[in-house]
Amino acid sequence: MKILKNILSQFHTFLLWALASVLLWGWIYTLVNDAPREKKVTVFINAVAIDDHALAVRLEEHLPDGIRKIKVHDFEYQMIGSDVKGDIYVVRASQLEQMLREKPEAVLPITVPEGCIGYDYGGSCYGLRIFDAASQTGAGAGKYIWYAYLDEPQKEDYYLCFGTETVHVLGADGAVDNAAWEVAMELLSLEK
Amino acid sequence: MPGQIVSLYPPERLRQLKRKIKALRILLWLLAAAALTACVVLTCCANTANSSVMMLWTMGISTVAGWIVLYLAIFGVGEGKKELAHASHLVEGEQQAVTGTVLVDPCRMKLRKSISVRKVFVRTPEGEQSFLVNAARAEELRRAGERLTVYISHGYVAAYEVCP
Repeated sequence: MKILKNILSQFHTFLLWALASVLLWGWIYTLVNDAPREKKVTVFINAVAIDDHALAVRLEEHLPDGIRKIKVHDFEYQMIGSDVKGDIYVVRASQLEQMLREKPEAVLPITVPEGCIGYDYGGSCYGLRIFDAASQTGAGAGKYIWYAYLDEPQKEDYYLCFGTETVHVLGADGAVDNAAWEVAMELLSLEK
Repeated sequence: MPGQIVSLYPPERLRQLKRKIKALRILLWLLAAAALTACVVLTCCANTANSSVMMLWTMGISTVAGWIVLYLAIFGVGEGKKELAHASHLVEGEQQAVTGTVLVDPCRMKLRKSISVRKVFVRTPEGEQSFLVNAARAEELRRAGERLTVYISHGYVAAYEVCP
């Protein structure tokens, strides 16, 4: 009874501490869970749905040398004013075409590796097919990335492309390594 | 025992109080250090797969340990220091003897930034006088009897003597 009375008399102090503790450790974990740009690869995916946490955990099973973190975000994350620069983008074919039409300098031209299908535009290749609309199959489909609604087949292919601001593709300005390519290959190899 | 002055704050009691405050201080520092160590270890062990769970555990440990440390600091060490300051103040002060029928009020009052006290009424041939007594020592005074000589320091009962 005395203990309860004491606690109630200082309830505001205990409440303030709880709030401060949650905020402090939340902030610390945000710092701990992040890495500088040179040490992380950021993937933006514009699909019907994504399990960003599970996909990041899966991709981190094979971290490229020098990379500490792989961050996976919904594409809208970048659209709402964040200053995070993406290394890899997964978008629908029409969206890739729009990007190339309106901001061609934003997408890195690439050489298509053997066994992959590229997206050609204006004589160069800019993307690698990750989802095939004809067969309705795609890397990580149904487990990490949902390319289509359950009751409606997806009419467009999806492509994986690289942003020109990436520092993880050799050939891009300021590139430190080729880690984004390794992560892209890992992403493309996910079970269909 | 009649004729023997009984202090409500004997030196042994003050020594015990000092030891209790010191022990509580050590306990709360140890608890704070242990909780902080646990939180740091959990944070270092966090990775992408388990960061949500680790963060929740860290927040939980930090919050609960913080509550316990705050409780011990405020109601253990804090109250102990107030009582020790009060007792030292009375023991060092000049004492005035008042003999009469003593009645201890059952109601407690909490003095701001100080200890809890109870009122003591002493009925003498000249009239009734009221003083205060540390609520923690009030029962001891009440059990001593009604006919007492109380020794007053700074308005508080510091000692008593049972009248023959």
